[in-house]
Amino acid sequence: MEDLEIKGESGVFYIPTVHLNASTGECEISGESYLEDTDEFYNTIIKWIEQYVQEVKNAITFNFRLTYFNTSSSRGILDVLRALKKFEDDGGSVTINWYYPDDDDSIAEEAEDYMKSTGLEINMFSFEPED
Amino acid sequence: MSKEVTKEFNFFEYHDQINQENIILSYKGPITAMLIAELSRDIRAEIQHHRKASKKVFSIFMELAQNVLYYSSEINLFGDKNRVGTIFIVNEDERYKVIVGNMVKNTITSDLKERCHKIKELGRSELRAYKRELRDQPYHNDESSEAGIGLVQAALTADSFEMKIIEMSNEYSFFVLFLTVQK
Repeated sequence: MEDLEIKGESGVFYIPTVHLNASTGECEISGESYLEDTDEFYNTIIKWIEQYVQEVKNAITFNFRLTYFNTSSSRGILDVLRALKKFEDDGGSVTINWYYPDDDDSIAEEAEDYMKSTGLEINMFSFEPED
Repeated sequence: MSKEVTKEFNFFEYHDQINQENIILSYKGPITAMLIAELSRDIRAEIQHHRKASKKVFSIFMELAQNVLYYSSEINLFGDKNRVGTIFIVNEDERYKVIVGNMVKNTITSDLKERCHKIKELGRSELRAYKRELRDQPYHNDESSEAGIGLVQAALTADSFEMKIIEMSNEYSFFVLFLTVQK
């Protein structure tokens, strides 16, 4: 199974950087998310997870390190988390780490809200954003 | 929109107003996804002093501008028939003010009023629960629930949230949101 790599950019839209590693199960999404086609972007990630669950089935660690995302993206993120929850419910080992910028309470709150919505355990860590 | 002009438009008064240094953004016209990204960069460049507040202003602008993009009932008849809206961001002593207006059909104003009153009345944790409720629903192209989550997010981010609806004709009203962020 192949890795999924998306190079983030802050051009016309704000595209997050994505690294999904099929051999180590280490996954990360970082940066900012305001996209032209939000559904397509997050569906690509969800399809990768579904393939990983089918073919690899090893432990997966998903790191979120986003500094901004709009509400459409927040729906996409919820669907990513639901795909991971399904893997966990089916016996998969899932670790979710949520890194939030220390100057933005709303991104920390989002993690709490996602825990409530999905029933997943999410580890929260603050970090100092660079700019 | 054909409405009788009741007061003569004073260009100089208007120009004086929008030419004040404390106007961070003043825009009326067609809104596109690309324009939102462009304006968002200007906003970031303009307000860097109050880091937390500027992130909030940025985020409120993004949600409300996207609301206009999807739900304004005023359509630009030229080019790509983009939706039209009005956006102001004002830098006051203690706070930033974000004002966003767009035309809506009179048929949805009572729903909008009700939704805005609900948002205003809910406490923070109830508002978060309401946002989860809207977000947890399976995606559907229902205008009001899609617009709702953006409004709730903007209200969660702001320190105050006010709404006004002014009837413009038998068919349309002007819907305006006033949100503030403390510095």
